Amino acid sequence: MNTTLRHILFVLIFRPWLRQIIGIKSINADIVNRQEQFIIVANHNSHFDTATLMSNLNQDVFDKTHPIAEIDYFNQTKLLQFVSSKLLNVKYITKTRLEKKLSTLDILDDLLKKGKSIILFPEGTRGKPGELSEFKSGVAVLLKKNAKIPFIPVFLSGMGNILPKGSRLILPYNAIAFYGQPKRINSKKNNDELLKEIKESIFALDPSFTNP
Amino acid sequence: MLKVFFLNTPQEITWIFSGLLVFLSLCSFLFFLLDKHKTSALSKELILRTKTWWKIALLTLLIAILPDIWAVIIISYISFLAFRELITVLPLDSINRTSIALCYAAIPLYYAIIYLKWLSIDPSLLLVALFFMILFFSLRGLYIIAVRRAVILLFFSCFLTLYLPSHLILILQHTYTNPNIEPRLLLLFFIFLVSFNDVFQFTWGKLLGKTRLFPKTSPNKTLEGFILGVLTTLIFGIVLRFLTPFSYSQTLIVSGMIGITGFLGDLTLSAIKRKIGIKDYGLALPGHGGVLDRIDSLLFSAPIFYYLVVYLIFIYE
Repeated sequence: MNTTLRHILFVLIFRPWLRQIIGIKSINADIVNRQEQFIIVANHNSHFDTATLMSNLNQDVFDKTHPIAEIDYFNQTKLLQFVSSKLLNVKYITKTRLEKKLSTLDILDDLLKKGKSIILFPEGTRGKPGELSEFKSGVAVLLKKNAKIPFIPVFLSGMGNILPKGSRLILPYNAIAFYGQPKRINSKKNNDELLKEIKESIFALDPSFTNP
Repeated sequence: MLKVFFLNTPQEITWIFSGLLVFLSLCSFLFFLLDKHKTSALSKELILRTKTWWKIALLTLLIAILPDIWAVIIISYISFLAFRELITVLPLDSINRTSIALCYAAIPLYYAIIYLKWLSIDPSLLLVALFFMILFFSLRGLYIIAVRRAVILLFFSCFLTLYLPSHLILILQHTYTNPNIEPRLLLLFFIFLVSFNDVFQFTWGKLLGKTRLFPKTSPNKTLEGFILGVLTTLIFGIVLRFLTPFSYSQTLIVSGMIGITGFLGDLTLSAIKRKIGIKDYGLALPGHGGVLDRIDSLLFSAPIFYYLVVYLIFIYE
């Protein structure tokens, strides 16, 4: 699909729909567009997580950013497939991994080496609404390998209400995406410490967490 | 044919919005000076609030000068925003998603019925239909407590954010027997008075408030703020009397009522916030909170004002 056409579609229809009708608000989202290359790390509750994170990008940043997904969920219907891969720029890794016998880590590493930015959900799958499940340790390894690229923590709140796992009914709800400051990790730390650091930097953005 | 172009603006609208322009500019300038002199949390909040008031003023201007269809679109969108905020904070189970979707669908339908006067249906009948639909779809819930909660909360939300503000459209659409009434000016009179009432109850409370009326539910409400606020609203009612065909005594009754119901509406929605345990209904309006935090008094005054006007005019004939 023509990228200019896609961007026009995004700016005129998709973005207003997300913000005005569905009710997703983003705080500090400009940060992302100021970065040369980045890794967004966010918690995952709904398909709208990816849509929200992508909708805040400018066109040039948008074209070189890929949300990462396994093929399982998105491959269900033609519509979902079209929306995710063509509109939202989602990169599926399962196929490449099985055909070329590469590990997930190698594929992502390769993308970053090419100068692409990626969006990661370290929980792996959409968890229960409002809960943060265990992070996969691959995130820490990847960040350690690419210590020069800043990671941006994003806390997504209330997305699970809009389209929970297993539901097909999209309902308007107020949801907020809190963007944190870009950070570089200390590659001397071990994986567990890094995972904890990443998790805390996401949690620290939750306003109900910082001022109980 | 539907009119979608500019109406010829009555003289009164020009006056009242010029007055508002001067008032808001004065406030902006004053708060800017205050912030420059000594920056504090209060001055920052006042500046944010005034900025939001500018936007509300612009929206009111659009309602005032554009044909009725735009007023209906704007008010139904505000209704939708308020409903979305309420649904977000109320403790509803995911089993009620179908009922919630129905309520969302009912919002444009309800306003369309009022605006187009379809089959001369009484629009509140839709509310009754909605009640049965909510009941029907909630019964799939396993536990009686969940069903009861869904029915109460959803029906309450629709009542609060759909039925109450729809009276603003009724004010515009009512066929008044008195030929001196210009419905659009009447609606402006109401919106202006409610807003001034809010502002002055807040201001007098901040300046002179000592006796707290409800320290637990709404710590900002004071006896002094309430009484002085209502008195200021009475004065503004007399000032804005040129928009309406009311006599002096009728104006006093109407503005006094707006002052009291505005206070009660504010109090009710604050009490709900405390029960749920949140500070604001959302982040839509910087400085104020959510849309519901702003329109709370408008919601409760609208039906009272509408029926009072219809009743007063009935007596007047």
